[in-house]
Amino acid sequence: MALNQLKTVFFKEFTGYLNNFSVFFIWGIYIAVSLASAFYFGSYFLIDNSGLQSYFRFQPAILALIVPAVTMHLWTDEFRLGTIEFLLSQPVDYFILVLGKFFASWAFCSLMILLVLPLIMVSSFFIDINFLSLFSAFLGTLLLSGAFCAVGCMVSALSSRPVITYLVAFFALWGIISLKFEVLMTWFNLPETLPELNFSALYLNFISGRVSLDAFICFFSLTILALWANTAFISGRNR
Amino acid sequence: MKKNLTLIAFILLLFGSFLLINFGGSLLFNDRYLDFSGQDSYTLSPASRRLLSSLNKKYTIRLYVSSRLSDYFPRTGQYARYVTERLKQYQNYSNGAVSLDIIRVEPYSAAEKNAEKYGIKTFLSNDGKINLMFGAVILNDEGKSITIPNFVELRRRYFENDITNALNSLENMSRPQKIGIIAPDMDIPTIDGYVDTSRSPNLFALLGQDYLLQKISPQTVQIGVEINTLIVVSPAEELSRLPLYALDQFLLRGGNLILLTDSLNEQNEKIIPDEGLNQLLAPLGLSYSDKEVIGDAQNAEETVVNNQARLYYPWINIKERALEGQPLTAGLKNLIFRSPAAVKIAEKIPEDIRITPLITTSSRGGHVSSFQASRLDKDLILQNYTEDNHPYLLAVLAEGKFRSGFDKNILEGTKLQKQMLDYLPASIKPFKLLLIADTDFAYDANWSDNSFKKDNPVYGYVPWADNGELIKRAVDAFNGRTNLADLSPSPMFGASSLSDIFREEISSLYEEQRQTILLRLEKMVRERLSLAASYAGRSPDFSEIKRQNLLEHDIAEAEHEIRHLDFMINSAYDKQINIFILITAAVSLLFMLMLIAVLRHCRRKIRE
Repeated sequence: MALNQLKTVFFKEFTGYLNNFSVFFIWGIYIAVSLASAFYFGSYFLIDNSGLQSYFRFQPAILALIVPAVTMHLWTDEFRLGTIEFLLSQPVDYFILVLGKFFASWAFCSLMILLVLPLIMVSSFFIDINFLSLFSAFLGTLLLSGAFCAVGCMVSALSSRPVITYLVAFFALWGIISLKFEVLMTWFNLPETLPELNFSALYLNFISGRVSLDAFICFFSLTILALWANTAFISGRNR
Repeated sequence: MKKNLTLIAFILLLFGSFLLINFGGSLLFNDRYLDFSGQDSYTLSPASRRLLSSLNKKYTIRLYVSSRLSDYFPRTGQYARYVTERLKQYQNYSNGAVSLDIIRVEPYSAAEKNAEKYGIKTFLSNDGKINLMFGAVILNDEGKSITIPNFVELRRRYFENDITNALNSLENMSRPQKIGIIAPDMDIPTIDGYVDTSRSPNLFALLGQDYLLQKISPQTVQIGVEINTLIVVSPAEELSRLPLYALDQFLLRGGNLILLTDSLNEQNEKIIPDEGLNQLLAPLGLSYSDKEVIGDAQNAEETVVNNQARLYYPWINIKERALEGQPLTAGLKNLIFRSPAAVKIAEKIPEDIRITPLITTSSRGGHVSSFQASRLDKDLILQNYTEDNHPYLLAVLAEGKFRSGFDKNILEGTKLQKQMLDYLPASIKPFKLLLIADTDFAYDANWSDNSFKKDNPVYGYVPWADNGELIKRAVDAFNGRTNLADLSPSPMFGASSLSDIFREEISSLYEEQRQTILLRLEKMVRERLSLAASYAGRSPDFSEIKRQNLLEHDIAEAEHEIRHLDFMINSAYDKQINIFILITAAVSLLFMLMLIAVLRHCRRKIRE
């Protein structure tokens, strides 16, 4: 039952992305910015790019720019068009609604990430591609986009204005990628023996081939907490 | 208001739980990871882990990296990240015995001065404005240290070997053992009879990290008892009976010998006579022939023969798979031989001797006369080459006891006899012998690149074959330093950047043209010099001035042509980069449209 409901919400949201031209716009900007940053700022031609490190290095910043555009309509449109009351009055668990919307946005972003395949194909004519490292980078980027989609979903439940949602989500994601917890450790005088917690560094580990359990915990905890908060905001709004 | 406060409190609570979960996760699971780098970047070898878990002293690895290294040299910056990650592994595996200190060096800072005191070398940024550095110092708690003046990216495969060996040397820094070297045809500078490893061939720079290398005369009649391992690179002049006696007695006393002999030494283009050495080897059940050079059609290297790239059979590159069988060669990636001889094992081996074949050619071995190989050019050598399709032995390991090939002390009856050790008719201890049938095996030019060696003799040369590593392993094994016996060079993944590949491709198109101009230029410069020499001390006459001017004009023109060629190469390179970008963008756009079309089609199908 719950799975069917999840499927329905997922398909409704996912096909919604394909109904208009926003898909061309979002994917087009994503691939243009990604390629430009890899070629012009990532020293793509100068360093050993068997794992496409130059391309993936900038993904946190690029996804922080793109993901809010993917997620901003998820709840905002429901508030703006007044369909939220109808949606919440359906016999569907709030968490299923949140999950359905989240998975739709994540699937959309995952397909967007696949747009790197042509670059892999063209590069493979000239260099040996390290597919193991590439797999690790893909995995990291998928987890990263999942966490970002969850945060974007959560932020979109806070406002009925898409532009504000976009901006708040963008700054929230930017904050996450640029926040270095060692700064907090210095502020609060925490002992240096505590491990470093750095979102970007954990992602960079993925692109250099280090798939660690603490990185999984970090990405998953952010995703789950954001989805939980999203459910709490929706239910709080309905009260 | 209350609602807003609740929201803020909720968000803070979320943030707090996120921090708690992640601190906990990092504390508990920081060392749980999978290595997907494809280059073992995050996996230390068992040998390194064993060493790290058994360290008795405390170590600090100070890594000095310029903060702006990546800005000027992106590729070196990438390597610096790799080095940092690798060194973190050393820290993680050592149970607190190794601590890593990463120092981001700013130009003209105190850290820069401090690093220079330790011997870290600086290099100029590509705009020549600031000094950069990228090296490390490994210090132990006794104040002893080893400095890596510069990390050379091309030496990446040996990174783990370098760090682990350095830690091992510092851990076991007692009185170093002496190794004797007899290699009269190699240029080996010495200080007080000991090899100056800062200027020596790479093989000895490598060995000099852990051993004291003593140069021994090829006319010696006795090898001192303080030397238990001797490396002999056979000279082109036949060894007289005096050193042969010395080697015979050295082996009978239980000495360890690494003997590199050959049929043709390519480096000096000389045939290594077999008569003397075969006298030494015969009692051990071994021999070699100076009459033929061995080739291998399956493992041959490609080289330019008659302006064409062709397989040149006497240049043999034995790869990893063929080296797996023996502990001494297991894990090595490749070994290079140049016109080697074949080792022959006697049908009847003395019963106390055990001979282990170590390296053989493939079953597509062949031979050519060493006389022809020393006289003819490569094309003719290949024409005279006979493929006899059976494997040849290139190296063997022998050990055991034997009877002397001499019936008495060679200097018996002379005054010197009294100063010598007693003559031994038979072994008093088992000997060990590594016999390699190629002297070129030891020469730098055949297995390593010295372009980055300036001020960095040990960590600056770049091996492309593991020739040095094999000899180092043998010396270590002979001296009982077996704790790192299984330490192998790391695998390497696509080391070239697209820029390197494009440039190489484009340069090769213009190479012939460039060579022609360079030859012409060289000829003209030589002519100008001889012309100037012809009228030295007098005023040149009119025809000489005219010729001089003409030459100056032609030289300037040739130089201009070279500059033009460089410009053409750069333009073609830029064009190729732009084409790459355009193709990628176009293919990406097509792929995106195709993906959207497929998704829309699927949606329509689902709706239907």
